[in-house]
Amino acid sequence: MASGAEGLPFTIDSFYRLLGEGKLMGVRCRSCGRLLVPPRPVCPACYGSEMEWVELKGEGVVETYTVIHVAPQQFAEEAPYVVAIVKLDEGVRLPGRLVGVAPEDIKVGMRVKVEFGEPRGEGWPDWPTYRFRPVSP
Amino acid sequence: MKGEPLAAVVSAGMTRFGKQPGYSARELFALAFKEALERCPELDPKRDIQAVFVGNMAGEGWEHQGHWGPICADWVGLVPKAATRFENACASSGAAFRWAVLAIKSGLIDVALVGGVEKMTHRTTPETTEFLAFASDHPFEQFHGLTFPGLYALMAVAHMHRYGTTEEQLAMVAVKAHKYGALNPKAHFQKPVTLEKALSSRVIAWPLKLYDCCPISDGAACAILVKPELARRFTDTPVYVIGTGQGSDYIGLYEREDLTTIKATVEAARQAYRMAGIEDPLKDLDVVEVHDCFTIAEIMAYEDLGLCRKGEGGKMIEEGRTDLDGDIPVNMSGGLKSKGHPVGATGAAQVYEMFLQLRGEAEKGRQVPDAEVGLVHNMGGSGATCVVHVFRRG
Repeated sequence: MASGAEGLPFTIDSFYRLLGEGKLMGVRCRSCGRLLVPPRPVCPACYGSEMEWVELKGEGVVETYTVIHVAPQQFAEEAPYVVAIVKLDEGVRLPGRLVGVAPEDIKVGMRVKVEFGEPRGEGWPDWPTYRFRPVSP
Repeated sequence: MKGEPLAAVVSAGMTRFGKQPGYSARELFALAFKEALERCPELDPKRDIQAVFVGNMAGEGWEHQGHWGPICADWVGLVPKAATRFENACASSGAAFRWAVLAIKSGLIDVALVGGVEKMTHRTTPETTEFLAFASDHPFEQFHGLTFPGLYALMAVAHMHRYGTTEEQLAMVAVKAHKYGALNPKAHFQKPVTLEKALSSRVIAWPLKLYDCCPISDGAACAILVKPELARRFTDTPVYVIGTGQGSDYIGLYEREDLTTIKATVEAARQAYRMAGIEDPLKDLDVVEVHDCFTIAEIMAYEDLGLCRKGEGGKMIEEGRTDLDGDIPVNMSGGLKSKGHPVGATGAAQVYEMFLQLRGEAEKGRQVPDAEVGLVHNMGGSGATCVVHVFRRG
């Protein structure tokens, strides 16, 4: 079990709290073994509620991506930006910003790694952010 | 064709979709209702209608107003009848329609008013983008700056990567939509576009461009739904509901194993086809309205509804098989792309279109000749809700 996660509820808020400590965490259902990212208090597969925290390596491949040109107001200054869905090596998927690569150089299947960032601003939800960056060959 | 009537549509009404400056949602709903009344002189609304089912997605955002059931009942003179609002994102009035069908089938309600409405154009595009995004996953999609065009772009890239679907094929969906929307007097946009213009329009969320995206519109639509035995009391040409289905999919795209298909559509179609006795949709259906909020959504709908095999949706549009003179005409209304998409009204507007098509009342050039059986496909959000209905002319 990873340190720092003990006693935290199995929630999205805990996911982001741990992210702020530089840990990408999911939970594994003790009843059926399913890995849940983000964490959930009740397993949708078997309805078990005994979970254990699992730290993820944070590496995977780009499954699909888009380049957002017209952004919501709060992100308008960052546009254009890339959002990808990454399939992590543990088998679960996470969406996130993809940085450090020109849109025309992005390939489906490209290997990427997570990196951690600061909260974007004040107020709810002032969660820390994460993003993906290509792994150098 | 098997398929017992579950309920009958005896009238329908719809405002023009587009910009309706100065009109709020309740007023648009009243205007759609007025058309339904005029079409059905035998209907005495205060005597006959027992319940009101209304779809509205996010009036809390656009108009700072919730509690739409009784508001719409009031504006159509039906207080104190039962009135309930349904929210399933862009499938809100498709869902309202389904639950009205179930209410009638239950035997508790004989005559229902079912419709939908949304007022959107008085707010800025960033505001509207934010209200629409309510229907996507907040902690992992909105949080990273994903928009609705962005979510469908993620599906488009997956589809292009796996099946070789092209940006040209996406643009062909828009060209077809505008071709028929140009003939629909209720459509938001009533002019054709060329493939070149669609392809060279500005990028919204690559690979989706402006012409791959439906517009922001105001509008309302409604139908009068009655139990089948009462249909002939109101009209000689009822349109029967013979199949209803609703399904769900994961709201977060990251939860989906396969981004090239929408489970909710597959499930809703399976239920509706079984009820209606549809064995080969391509042969058994004469006219189809699909939820083309983005061009890729129409291509995926062809596949998920079983109109073609998985991966062949792009080829289907390219070969003109969903044109008026093709194997199965799709979106002769102009679809969401050209007709417009006041989100909460769209499901009801699809029913309105099917009512016209199956009575042979659509305009020349977009009326499917002698259409007998039709399907409507209404999706919510990025496909986490889908409602499908199958209709047969009386």
